[in-house]
Amino acid sequence: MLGFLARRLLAALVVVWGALTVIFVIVRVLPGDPAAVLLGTYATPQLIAEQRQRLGLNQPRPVQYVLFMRQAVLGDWGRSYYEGSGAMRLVLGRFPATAELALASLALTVGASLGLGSLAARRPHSGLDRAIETVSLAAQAAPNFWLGLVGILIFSRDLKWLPSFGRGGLWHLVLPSVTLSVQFIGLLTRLVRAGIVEMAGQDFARTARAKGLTELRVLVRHIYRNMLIPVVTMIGLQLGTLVGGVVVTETVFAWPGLGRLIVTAIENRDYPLVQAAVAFTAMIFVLTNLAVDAAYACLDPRIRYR
Amino acid sequence: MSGDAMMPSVSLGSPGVSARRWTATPRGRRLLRMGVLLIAVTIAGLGAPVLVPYDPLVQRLEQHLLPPGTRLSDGQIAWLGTDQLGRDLGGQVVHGARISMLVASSTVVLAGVSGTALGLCAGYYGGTVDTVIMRLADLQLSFPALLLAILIAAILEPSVLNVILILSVIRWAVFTRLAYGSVLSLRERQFVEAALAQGATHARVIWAHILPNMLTPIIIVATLQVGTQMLAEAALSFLGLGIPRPLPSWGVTISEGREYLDNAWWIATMPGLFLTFVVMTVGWFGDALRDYLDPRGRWQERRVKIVAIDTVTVNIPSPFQMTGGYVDVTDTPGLGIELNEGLVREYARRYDEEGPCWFWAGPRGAEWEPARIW
Repeated sequence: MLGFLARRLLAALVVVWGALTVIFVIVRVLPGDPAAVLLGTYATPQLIAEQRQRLGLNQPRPVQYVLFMRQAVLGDWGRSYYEGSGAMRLVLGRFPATAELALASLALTVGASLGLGSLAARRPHSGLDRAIETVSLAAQAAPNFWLGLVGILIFSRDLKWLPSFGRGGLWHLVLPSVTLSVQFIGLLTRLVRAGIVEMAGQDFARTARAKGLTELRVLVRHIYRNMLIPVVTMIGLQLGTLVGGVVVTETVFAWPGLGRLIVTAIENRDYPLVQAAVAFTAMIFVLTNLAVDAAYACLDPRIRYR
Repeated sequence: MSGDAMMPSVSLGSPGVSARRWTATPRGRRLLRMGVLLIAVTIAGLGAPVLVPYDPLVQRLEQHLLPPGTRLSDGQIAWLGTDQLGRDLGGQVVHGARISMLVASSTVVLAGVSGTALGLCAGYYGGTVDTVIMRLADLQLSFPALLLAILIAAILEPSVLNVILILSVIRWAVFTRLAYGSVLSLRERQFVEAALAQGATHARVIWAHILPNMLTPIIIVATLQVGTQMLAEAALSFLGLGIPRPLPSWGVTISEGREYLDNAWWIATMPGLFLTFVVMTVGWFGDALRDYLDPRGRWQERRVKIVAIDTVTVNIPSPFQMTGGYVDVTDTPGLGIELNEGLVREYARRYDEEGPCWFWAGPRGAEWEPARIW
């Protein structure tokens, strides 16, 4: 297990390095001059040249790359062109908001899809099952930014129940986290339903019933336990989609998180901030994937990593 | 008992089944229904200029923010209302469908063809090619797709062509992984060896022997990816990084509607409703196609009662041990009427050692559907 983790950690480092290189290439090699953008309408060639000098943009690209990597290793991500403070500090400052949103959505997704999936699996091909199936498909098909706007329209503008933007108490969390989780609920509900239908007919479920357990206990203690592996796998596979969803959802609800930070940094061509934010996201992403892999071993004693 | 007498008398290769039209099975009919729906939606999108014979981008500022169903001054009815510049929303939605479909299908073709080709090469030739391509694919897959798209889109000039390129770049690895997995197992098969022994070139083996055998999962994934790509395009456009204004795009229209949520709810909601419907249609079609093409999927989504079983070769003691004729399983003592899916598959596992066997399955009285137990 330790050897496996060490190897995976090494592979994760390679991925982070690759991600950093991709970011560097995209940000520096493609057209667009940050010095000019930073100066805005006041840019004169002389001012731009001075600005490029100050930002280190006039060095050859390979030199910039080496400097960039060295500083990345040292944890120095430069200063935000706009805000002036350390890029990584800005990123870390935004992370709790995003983590809050992501965790709330995860909890909501798991809870809702286990509930809906079990409900649908109780009577396969009944009216309820078909209705849940259709709703899950619709949930996967609806663009989340649109759902967010519809939510704002109904629950903030019309009913005035929930706040429509910003971060605050629990009420602020409701609309964004629901918006973010809807598509995953759709996906997981179908998975849970298929899994329960499959397992309900298997020996272990029959044995559990035969020894007199209630239907609920069979479901929770025996079937859910076996459902955990595919559910965790699916969550792992959907992490990338989650990151995309976070960016869009934070934009809709003006949620002060990482996604919003990345979008504004890109609009401003704030290179150090973009690099720091994307690198941090990639790092979190890789670590979460690693955690998912490690979780398998805990969930299923048959799995042993070597 | 001799082997011949015990062979199932019905299999896909026998006239009894192959003579049946593909629409004769419930799955075939569902595929047909979904196909017709998808084609109708596609025609509606592609035929936008015919359906909406006026320019949806004409601005009539004096008629802005009119609710759905209003009759405009020129006698036209704005079924979905007008936007903040007095443009007809219905026309924009139909034209938006065109762009959305164009972008989604071309990115899937681009990513599908290039990704499959790369996966084929990596899997078939192995060695350095394999390492380089698959490591790149891993890197690509370990990076959040939409984040990469946003990064590239922010730096390129917004244009339809760039959106297509960006969305292709973020998806190729999906197809590469899929193709790679198929090729690894296919290239060890005897028909590949036989073809090579007969002097076929590698190109010929790939084209004539490997590619046709791995297309099914790729086509299924490609179909489902069309919906994903439509959503990705809409998200990019919503963030202002996709289709440039004033081209009609669902994402752009929804984003513009954000500012008019208070007095014109229809601008932001209508395009999303249509987008959801089209993506659902693609999803339905993809699911129907998978159920139809992938034999292993046949038992997973349907609860069937086994009504009768044709000759089955089994040598283990079980109520199913029989040599010929039809036996109504629902009347077999000890099994009861509730012979559902789970039970069928359980027996299937025991039959597995004896090779595949065929069941006629379906509700009593209805048309029977041949089903293969693996």
